[in-house]
Amino acid sequence: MLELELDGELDPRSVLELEEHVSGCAACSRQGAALRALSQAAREHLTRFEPPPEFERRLARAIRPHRSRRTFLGATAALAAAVAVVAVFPRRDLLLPEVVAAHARSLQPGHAFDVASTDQHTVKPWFEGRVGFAVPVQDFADQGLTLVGGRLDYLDGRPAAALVYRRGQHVVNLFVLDQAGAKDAAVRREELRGFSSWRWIARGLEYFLVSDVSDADMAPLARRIAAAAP
Amino acid sequence: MTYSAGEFERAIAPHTRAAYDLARWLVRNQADAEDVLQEAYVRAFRHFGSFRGERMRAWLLAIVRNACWSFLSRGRPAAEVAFEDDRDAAEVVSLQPEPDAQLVRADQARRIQDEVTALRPEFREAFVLRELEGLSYKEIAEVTAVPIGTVMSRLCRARRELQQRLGRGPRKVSAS
Repeated sequence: MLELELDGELDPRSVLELEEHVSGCAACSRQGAALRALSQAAREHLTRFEPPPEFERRLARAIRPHRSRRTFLGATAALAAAVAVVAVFPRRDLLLPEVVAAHARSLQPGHAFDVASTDQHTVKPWFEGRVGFAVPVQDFADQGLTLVGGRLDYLDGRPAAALVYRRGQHVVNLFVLDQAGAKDAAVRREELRGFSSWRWIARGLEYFLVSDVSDADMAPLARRIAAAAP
Repeated sequence: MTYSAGEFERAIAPHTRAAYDLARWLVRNQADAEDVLQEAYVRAFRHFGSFRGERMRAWLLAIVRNACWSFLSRGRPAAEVAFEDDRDAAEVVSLQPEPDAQLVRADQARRIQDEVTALRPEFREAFVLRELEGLSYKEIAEVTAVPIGTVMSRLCRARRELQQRLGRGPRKVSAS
């Protein structure tokens, strides 16, 4: 009975009857207090495990048809398949779908950013220790691209920075990946699933500027961001 | 009716955290829990078209829970199921604070994680679903596919064991 009351499974009348009894019964009142203490200790001190962002992305990949086969292969086969895919296609072709998926995911409620701030001096240090490189964070509010926050993403199997901007009602993600040793590459446009991506490599970092904003608006912005010194 | 991955994700998103928490508590090892959860997630997606009920949370948690149990029964947990099975719950030892009450309580709070982890899985799942996920007896019965009476007795035994163990000194728990 005491437990039923604790768990809110007792009807109001029985609750009253129980309370009347407990008030006059030392043993029940002790046990009641002990049960409440246990419940409170559990709620306060037990770990509530949270899915890490990279695991959520893993789930998202698992139910996408073009990749789902990987789920069912054994670890060895999956590794072999991954190696084969990498060998056949240039790695770049695998990155764009991943980046676009990360962008689409960020559009879902509550997924836009891990750190919300319009201040680049808040966003930049937030990434320290989370990604293995210094993230160049700049605001382009004067160009109509307002910094709203940052997010840790997982691309190409490692941590990547996502800078979140707004342009009007549109969310624009600027993904920054470590590509140490890669040669600089000029801005070029790609498109996937209705999103456009402007991509370039500078000083060992690869950038993807992803949105559904019109090309006429995005092209100059991409060039402006690429040209901005970090 | 088939649904896109995006539609499924939007429907399931509010319950992903609870599913993850349950898998971690049941399987106890992060890497295994995540593998099991991914398997359950793919299965849920495949059957999502035939899901008609309104209790999405219980539906998803039941799938996750079943996946965890079939993982646990794949050999590994023989040790776990037998774990402490013989140590029968004798009498109820209350958490009643004695003179050094504050000390005892702080110590209990730290140890509760270990003690819940060490509970038998059917007690552990009932306790976690009730205390951490706030499910009603009826929902727990639905998720764990047992009658409400069984839910009540499992919860009762889980609490009794926790009270006993927390009333005792610290114990060694094998890390998983």
